[in-house]
Amino acid sequence: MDNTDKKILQIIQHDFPLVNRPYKAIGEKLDLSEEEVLDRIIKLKNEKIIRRIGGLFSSKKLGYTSLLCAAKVKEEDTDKVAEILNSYPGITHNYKRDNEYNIWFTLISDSEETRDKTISEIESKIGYFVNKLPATKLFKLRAVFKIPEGDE
Amino acid sequence: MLTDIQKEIVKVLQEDLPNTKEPFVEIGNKIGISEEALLNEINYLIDKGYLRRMGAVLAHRKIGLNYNPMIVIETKEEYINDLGEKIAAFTEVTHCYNRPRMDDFPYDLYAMIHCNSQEEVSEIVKKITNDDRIISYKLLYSTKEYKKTSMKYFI
Repeated sequence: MDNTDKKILQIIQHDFPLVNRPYKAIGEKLDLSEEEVLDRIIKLKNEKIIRRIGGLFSSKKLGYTSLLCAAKVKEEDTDKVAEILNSYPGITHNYKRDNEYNIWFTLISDSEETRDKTISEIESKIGYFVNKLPATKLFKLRAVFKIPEGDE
Repeated sequence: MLTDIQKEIVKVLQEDLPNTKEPFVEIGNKIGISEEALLNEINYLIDKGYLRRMGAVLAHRKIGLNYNPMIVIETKEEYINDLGEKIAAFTEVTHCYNRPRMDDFPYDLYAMIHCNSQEEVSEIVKKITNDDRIISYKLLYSTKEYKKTSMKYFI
């Protein structure tokens, strides 16, 4: 990844141009040809630096409900519990963290009813209590990163 | 409520954009509307807040952001809003929420910090926590990423 790649990433992680020839529009900003921009983006996708280009939706506005959950799981059970959790499509993020509460995951459901049913089912499958930590207030949700400078 | 065509658009845009010069023409063809109609619908979804943004989702570790703690902060009820706003203003902070406390985990504010060095983390944490309104705080680092994906809606 060179500095030109970083400039492209900086642009497209904020706002992808909503025009007929988006790669041409990006190229015009950076003095690059449309082909070069598209080739570089394809390369960055192949290298999995770009996970995808597309829409980031508000789950709440779409009628879904999002929940952060935390559980205290015995070290020897963590991988097994994580595997069960990962099998749920509504669980989009799942991490082990260096705390007594060591399993942290987010669950997106199409209703509160589905959510509560899913949590009960998860608890009986994993054998641990799941703590629910709903957001009572959102101050920020913007996974746009400051890309570190310098060539790699 | 979204129309059927808007739901189709959500379903297509939650996948990766086609790697072609005219991606919106291709998507329009796929769902049977013109490029112009598609772009109008996308702008509508953005204006109404359904679509937070159109853009690239990056693997933060691959762009050099390898220090990504979650900070949790204990404060008093009356300071939650002001502190939440203050923390949210940092560019290194991508998520910031107020959440209910747990009995043995008495924290009110949760934020995700993304940095490219331990020094940078220390610096940001110092700026965030050098504040009399904070009673205590803790940094939780992820030691294993089991899953990180985007939600698939309407499937």
